Amino acid sequence: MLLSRYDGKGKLWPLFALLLTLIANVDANANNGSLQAAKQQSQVQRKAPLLAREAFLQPDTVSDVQMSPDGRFLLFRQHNEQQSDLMLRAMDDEQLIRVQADAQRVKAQWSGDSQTLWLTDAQGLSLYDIASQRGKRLWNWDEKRRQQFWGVDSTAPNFALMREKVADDNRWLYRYLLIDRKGQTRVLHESRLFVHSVAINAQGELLYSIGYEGDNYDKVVRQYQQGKSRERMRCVGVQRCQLIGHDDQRLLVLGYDNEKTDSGDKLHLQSRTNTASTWQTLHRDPNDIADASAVLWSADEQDWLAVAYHPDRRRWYGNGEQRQRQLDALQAQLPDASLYLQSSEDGKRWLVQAKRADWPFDRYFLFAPETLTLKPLFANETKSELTAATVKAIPFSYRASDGMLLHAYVFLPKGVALNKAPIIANLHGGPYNRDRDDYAPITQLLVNRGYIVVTPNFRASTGYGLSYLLSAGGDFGKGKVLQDIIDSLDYLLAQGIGDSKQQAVIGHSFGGYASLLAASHFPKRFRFAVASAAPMEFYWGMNWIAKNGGSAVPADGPPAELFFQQHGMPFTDKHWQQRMREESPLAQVSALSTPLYLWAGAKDDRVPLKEIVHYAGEVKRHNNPLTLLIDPDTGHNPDARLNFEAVVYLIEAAANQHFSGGLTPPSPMLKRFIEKHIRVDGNQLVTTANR
Amino acid sequence: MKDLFFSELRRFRLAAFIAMFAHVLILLFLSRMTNLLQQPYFESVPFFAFYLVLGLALALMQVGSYRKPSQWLWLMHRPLSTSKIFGALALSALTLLVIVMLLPMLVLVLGTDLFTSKVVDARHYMTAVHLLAFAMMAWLAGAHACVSRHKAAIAVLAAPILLCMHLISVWWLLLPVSLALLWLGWIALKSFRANRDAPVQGNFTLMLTALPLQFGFFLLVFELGAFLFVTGSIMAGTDPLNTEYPPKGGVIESLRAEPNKAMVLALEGSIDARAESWREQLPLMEPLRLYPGVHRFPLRHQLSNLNVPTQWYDETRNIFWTFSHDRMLFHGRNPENGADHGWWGVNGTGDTTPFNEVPFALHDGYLMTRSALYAIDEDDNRPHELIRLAEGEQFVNTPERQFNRMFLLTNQRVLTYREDRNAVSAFAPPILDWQLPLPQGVAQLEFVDVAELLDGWLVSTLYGEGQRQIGFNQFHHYAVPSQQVVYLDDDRGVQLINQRAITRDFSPLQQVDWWFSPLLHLLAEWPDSVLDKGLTWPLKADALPDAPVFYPVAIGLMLASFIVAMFWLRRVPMNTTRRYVWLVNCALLGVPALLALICLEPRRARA
Repeated sequence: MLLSRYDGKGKLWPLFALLLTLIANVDANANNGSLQAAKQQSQVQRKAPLLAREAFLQPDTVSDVQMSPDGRFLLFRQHNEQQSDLMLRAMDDEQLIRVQADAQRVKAQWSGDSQTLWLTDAQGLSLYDIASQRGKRLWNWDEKRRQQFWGVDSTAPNFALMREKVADDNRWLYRYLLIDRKGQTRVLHESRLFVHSVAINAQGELLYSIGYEGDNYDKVVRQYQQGKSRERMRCVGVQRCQLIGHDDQRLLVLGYDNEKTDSGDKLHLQSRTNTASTWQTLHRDPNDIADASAVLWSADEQDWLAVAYHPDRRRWYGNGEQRQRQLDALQAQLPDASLYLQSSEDGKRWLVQAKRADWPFDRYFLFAPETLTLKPLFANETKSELTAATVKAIPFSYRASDGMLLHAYVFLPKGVALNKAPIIANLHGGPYNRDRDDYAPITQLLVNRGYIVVTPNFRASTGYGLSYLLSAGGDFGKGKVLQDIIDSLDYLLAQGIGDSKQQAVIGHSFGGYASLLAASHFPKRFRFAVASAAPMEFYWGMNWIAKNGGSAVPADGPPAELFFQQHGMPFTDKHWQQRMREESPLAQVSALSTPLYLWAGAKDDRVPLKEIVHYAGEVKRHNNPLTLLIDPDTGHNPDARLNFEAVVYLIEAAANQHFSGGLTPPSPMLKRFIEKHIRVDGNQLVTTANR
Repeated sequence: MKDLFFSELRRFRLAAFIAMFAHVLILLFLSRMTNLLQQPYFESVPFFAFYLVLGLALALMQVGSYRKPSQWLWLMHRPLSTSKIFGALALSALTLLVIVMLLPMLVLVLGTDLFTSKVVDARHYMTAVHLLAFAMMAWLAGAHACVSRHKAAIAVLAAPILLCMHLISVWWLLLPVSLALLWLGWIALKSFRANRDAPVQGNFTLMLTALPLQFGFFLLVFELGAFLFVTGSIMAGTDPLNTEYPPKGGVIESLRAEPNKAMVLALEGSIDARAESWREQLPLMEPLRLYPGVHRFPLRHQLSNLNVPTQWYDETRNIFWTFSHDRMLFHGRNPENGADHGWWGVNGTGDTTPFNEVPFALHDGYLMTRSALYAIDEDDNRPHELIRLAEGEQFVNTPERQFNRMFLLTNQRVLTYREDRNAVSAFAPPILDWQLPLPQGVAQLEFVDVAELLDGWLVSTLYGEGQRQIGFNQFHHYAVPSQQVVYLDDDRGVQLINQRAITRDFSPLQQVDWWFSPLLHLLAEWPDSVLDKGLTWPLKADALPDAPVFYPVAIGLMLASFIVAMFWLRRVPMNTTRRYVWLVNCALLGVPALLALICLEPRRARA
């Protein structure tokens, strides 16, 4: 109720807001210093040259790099203009071997003995022998049995795992099969509900599993011995559990079990011996901000080497002082980068993938922890022109209006007066997702045009624990989440970052919805909003997904209604439904005055085209400026290059119309695409582009 | 008579045996290229035409050779009654046609039946018999024309063809075919007389002779007139189908418009508060257009297959399943080695429970009958019944998939199904999502446009002005076009949004031949409206169309025919009864009767 008076209609609110701001300032002071320093640093830097849009969209030439368990080979995908090949490289002689050409849709996994690669594609499963450099097809998927590849357990090098879903006694039966190198299969496990993952031994016997159980779809960790199973951990509702490793005596998982409070808030590393009755916490985020996001495991030692968290960037903590020193040394050589690590089975070689917001391409290194030497693996990482134009992600935390501490990133353009610079909130989708500090082409493009970009991880974002995730409580109207976004902008404006008269909001999917919410409930605040694949009414959208399925919810997971409730949405509450309707962009369309730019994928199975078309019709009927681009061949996400560039163009052109930061003219092909598929152009985007 | 019969056979024996041999070779050749027994009627038409021409050619050669007065006198002046002379010629012609036509066909059908695993039904044997009957009709008509005073008498063939050329059961077809043979036989017999220039004797014979002739003139003159009218309209730039832009507000405009634009047109004039919003949305949408495209379903023992596949291929097992009308089951055959794979009934392979109706196969793994839709389960090698309609209801389109749903049109409703997401089987019956009664049934329905809205559905139905194509024939009825738009909300409540009057694109006089001769028009369409042809929208005789302009034109033509007939008959010697028969005939049947009169009743030369 108080929040609804934020527009200045209330009388008590200013006093209350002042009080809250004072409290927030106390907590946020720690941030202020670093933010001000970053601001000063950005302002004194040379202004980055304006680069063409295409420069920000260049695909990486290398991706999906994997090290063989013995550390002797690298497997990676090499992209060129026409195709992507699966390549193998020996660490010692750097000789390149093409495993498979045109392997865009081929996924590869090493066998635990590093002798073979399991290759899977839409047709079936193949085996590639490293020694002979020959591959052979082992299995063709039976589509009617819904067969697909499931994974590889490095402790069982002779087997791969596949799964199928078949009708049995008028119910679904999930069957998990082992397939050996001769293509022989045998059933490993059968279940009425989906099993997420398993651990097996070298003989292909089932040791552990994590799968759904019961009407509430709890995720249960089970141990199997002598044909019997026993429950070792139960993850309820939205809680995740993940198998990490095991030895004869103990099992390591990422979970929430807390020996003191029964259930913890953050995902952490824990272990349990076969005889113990409780779980023991091995490591949790020392700052108690983030969930554990990765564990480095040594197969030889059968122990964890390090565990990572991602509060602002990925931070690693070693198992013991020696490991910590090694990690510190590694991190010192790659400052500010988020590191994604793979270890050889003996732990003597680490494959390092380093990501940074200002690095357009991930960088790969081989790290020897014993000598602390770091060797670059590919020569493609640096493109000087683009690297000079990109900026780092500056993490900051801020207090929301209700006092909750939230996390966000801001990206500052170089060499401009930041208090006069336009500021754009780029909102992530989901809402159960998060923004990170890695390279984001749209963000970097906008920054290059002289705009400040903020990416708030509003409540409901993942990675900061269960409370953070669930604290939105389904308040996706004119409530907490929208206020979190507004608060992030207010916080930066209060720091002298951004011009309050030049604010805009953009986003995809839920981010688009939130953008439209912002434009609808704060009609005078934003100069424009770009919303792609955006629902127009939250409850309607969720209900549509519940009725129609699609890729928005896990195919074999809990029913959508339960899934939403597990995520804190009071999905069946009539009052909540009514509130979502009343506060939706659709219901608020008459109050709209912000120019809108909408993008829709005609084949979207999460946000149906009819929803966007209905909203567009209403916006047009109310004579609000609107541009609508409908991509006829795309689903929820524009993956193909031209289709993605069209979305980026829409954002760049919208920003240029209102903030005049610059616009790369579209290529002839893009121009044709835009002109053909812009279905409404009340903002005269095409006309402007043609001038 | 026997001598004449044998002498006629001897005249053509060599030609007949050569023709028979050639016919066998041609059939053998064609049977290697295609399965002659399962070909659709579209492909059968050249065969039909060939046999008709064969019968006619035989008549022209055989009877035509006696056409010279001296030859005719030689034929007639023998110690035989004219009926026996005619009988000898007709029987010899029949024998020749049996040798040339029927025997090769029977050899082919019998050989296929005995020595292959292909499906051969009784209808295939009967089809050969019917083809012989049609050839014989052509012979009779040709014989009649050869010995008639006027060559235009060949037009008598039109009526029997109109009566018999229907894709109905071969057993039911025996009735009109027998009737036509008797009819033609009678008039041909009566035309065999010493004085060929004399008027037809006897009022009964006259009526039997005049009626088919009048039919012939009716079809010829109207079709010729319609052709000239359309050609002239095109040249004048006024034909609505051949202008650069279709006339505003008509049926053609909506038919040619994309569904979203047609729906905007359909909302024209709506006072519903939501119409404005929908008009904004529709240009951004891609509504689905459903046509009542299935005009007819196959019938049991049908003369020839329709243009729909009655066989399907099991790729996994390499089996062609062909439907047998005798057993009402599919029969399996391996095309590679000809192996027999037995029967396939409603419960799949090995089952002999027959289908109630003849199904046809759709490309995406469905079988469809008038009232049931099945999915073929290739794993279990059986069909699964997905949808069954109520008694009296039948499908008029094949399944269309869009908006995550399956759309079907019946002669009564629009049906929308969605798959049962909780079902384990891929062949579980779909769940009825919504249904909408067709406001005026399926008659004259041009299309149904369906747009998916945020909170429901917008459905537009367009009814046309009565043109209809069935096979090779076009039927014209007079109808007033209209369009209706309804809104179905998410609770499946239906609200009428707009009812739009549509102007006719065609002049009713151009479109409908009722006014040219109302009675002959009714008679011409009578067989189509009484025979069960499997039509999803049966033809309905339209005795008194609701088009005021027709009546003065029709009456005017009938009156004019009557007056001209009176003048014509002034110089024709005949008794009073016959005179009145002609006058009444011309008054009732109009111009075609007048033309028949001119053809059949020669005027006395002026003194």
